Amino acid sequence: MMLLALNLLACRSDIEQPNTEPVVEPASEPSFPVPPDAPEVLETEEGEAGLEQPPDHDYRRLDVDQLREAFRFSAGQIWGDFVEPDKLSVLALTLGQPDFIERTNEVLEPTVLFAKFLSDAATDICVNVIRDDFNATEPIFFVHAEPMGSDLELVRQNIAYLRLRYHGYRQPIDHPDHAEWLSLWSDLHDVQSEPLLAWFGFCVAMIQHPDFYAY
Amino acid sequence: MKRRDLLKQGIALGGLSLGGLSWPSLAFASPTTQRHFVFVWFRGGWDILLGLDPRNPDVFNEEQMAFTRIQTGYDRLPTGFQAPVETGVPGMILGPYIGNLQGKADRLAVIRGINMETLGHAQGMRRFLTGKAPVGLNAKGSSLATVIADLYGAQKPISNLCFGVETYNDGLDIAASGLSVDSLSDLLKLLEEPAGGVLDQQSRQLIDSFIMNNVDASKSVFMANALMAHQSAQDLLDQDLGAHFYFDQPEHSDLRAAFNLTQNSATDSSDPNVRAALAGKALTAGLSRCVSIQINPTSLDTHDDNWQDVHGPIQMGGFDAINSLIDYLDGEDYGDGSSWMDHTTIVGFSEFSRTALLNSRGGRDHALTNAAFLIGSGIKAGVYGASTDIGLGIQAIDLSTGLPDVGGVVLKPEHIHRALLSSIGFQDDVADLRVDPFTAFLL
Repeated sequence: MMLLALNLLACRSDIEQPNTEPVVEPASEPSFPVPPDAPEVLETEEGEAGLEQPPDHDYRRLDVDQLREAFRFSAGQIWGDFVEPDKLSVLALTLGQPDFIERTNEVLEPTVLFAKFLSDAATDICVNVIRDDFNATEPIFFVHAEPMGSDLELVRQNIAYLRLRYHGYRQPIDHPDHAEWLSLWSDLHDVQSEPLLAWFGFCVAMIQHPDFYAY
Repeated sequence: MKRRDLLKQGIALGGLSLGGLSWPSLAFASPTTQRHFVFVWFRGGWDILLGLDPRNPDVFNEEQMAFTRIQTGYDRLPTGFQAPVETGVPGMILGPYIGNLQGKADRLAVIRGINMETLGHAQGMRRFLTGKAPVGLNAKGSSLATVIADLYGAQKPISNLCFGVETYNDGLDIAASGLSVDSLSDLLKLLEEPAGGVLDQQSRQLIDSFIMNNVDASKSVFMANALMAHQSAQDLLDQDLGAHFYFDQPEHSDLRAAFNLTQNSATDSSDPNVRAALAGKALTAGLSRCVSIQINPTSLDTHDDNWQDVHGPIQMGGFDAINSLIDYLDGEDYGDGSSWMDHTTIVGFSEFSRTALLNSRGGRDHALTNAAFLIGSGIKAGVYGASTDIGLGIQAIDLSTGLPDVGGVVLKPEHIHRALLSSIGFQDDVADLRVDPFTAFLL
């Protein structure tokens, strides 16, 4: 990962030096650049997304095709550098996708196998997400925060944006859920020398979290 | 109270904590013996006349065919495969393509006259895996391997490994769920970190800790399962198990010799010997309690004149690979002076068999009457059950002797399942099979 960071740093001339101590400032209202083809997200009176599930909700897992689309929509990537077939297709049978010869139902349990390959996919995809976004004129990951910056106000805004983009939750920037995600980002920031690597880990966590693959 | 309700109650009462998710097991009793299982599926529907249930071609000849409704077809086979194989076990003759497995006849239990109650490939396979009749195409209940893994508890990193075989878990602990892969490379991907893009250990731990603490397992069984799967996937990586399965590496030269593999063929997942080697290694490396393998990547479904050319060799390839597996496990020390084979039971089956008569194209179609074999720990050698001498039909047997008995019962896969469960100490019907155990072949 250090190699990734160094490669990215070498490509960028206007690098901001990361602050060693994140600056804590009051939270402000977030702004969300919602993708034009984003599904409609309902807001409750409290301003939260209408996707919060009741306690007895019967969760289901995305199937392989849905997962591929989730990667494409959220991260702008498929797993495998847009080389066909993508890695999900290669692993489809192992992941339980039916072949309609011997198997007609898809396995949709959150199995160990699924968890492992999702982890692999998350690391691969997030490397590409961070790399592609680093110099992009229209970023889809670093919409508010700077890749190398540690301004917590911008980090908060970016987390709120990513929660909508990856998990479908439109929540106020000071929502308690965001505090936990911010805490993760801060922890990752503390153990890394670069904010960029903290964002990489954050991206992996977003994809591995059940909010990404369960509905 | 339904099991699902029990689970919910367990969650509500705090029975599922993030630190130690646990489900009630199938039974309050524990297995009485340390046993491992290998389930070997011969895909496509095997010809029992060529393997486990042959007939003497001198008696069952073309002249008698109108009466016997049995056509051995041995005269169409290559030289050397035109007669069944005699063994030293009373009543046990084996088909011309039994291969090297004939050398294990004195340890082999051959089960004949099993009624599969279906002629569909998927239904038959699922019927044998679960011991329950599928609902339409859908399996009903859990695979026997899953039941056994659940009964033993999560003592192994992958308690229930499946290679090219479906697996079912109907309400049992997710730790007992079969982990199904379709190639050796997929298994290695599961056991190892991917090349490139690997998170550093500190970040990985932070993310794991965040997910385990941030997700509310009390929301649903799904979420509890998701967390357990996430943790288990990381645990697998931490154990560095992949090295056991690089069969082409120098440290596995003995394994390659045991399974007649070369350095090149040792990574070819389509080779039955590689599949058998994977099963053996998964056991001896302490990875799995149950391993299910599809032994033949090429289907045995030979409805046409390819029957006489390819069916027998495919079957024999599977039998030979299993023979190598037995030899390998015989030679591996269990750690207490006994061998791994002393602690392993191997079950060979197919989804159904093929018709006793050749069809007009020189092939055989699907038939209900099946056979299976078992060998290893807890198994008594012999022939149990029987098909009829007219059309390889089904006849009732006495479950305690395996002999035909007009007042007995028609043998089905679930009778074998119950017997295997009773052989590890479960006399009660813990898998809800609703039949008596077929005890005749148990020691």
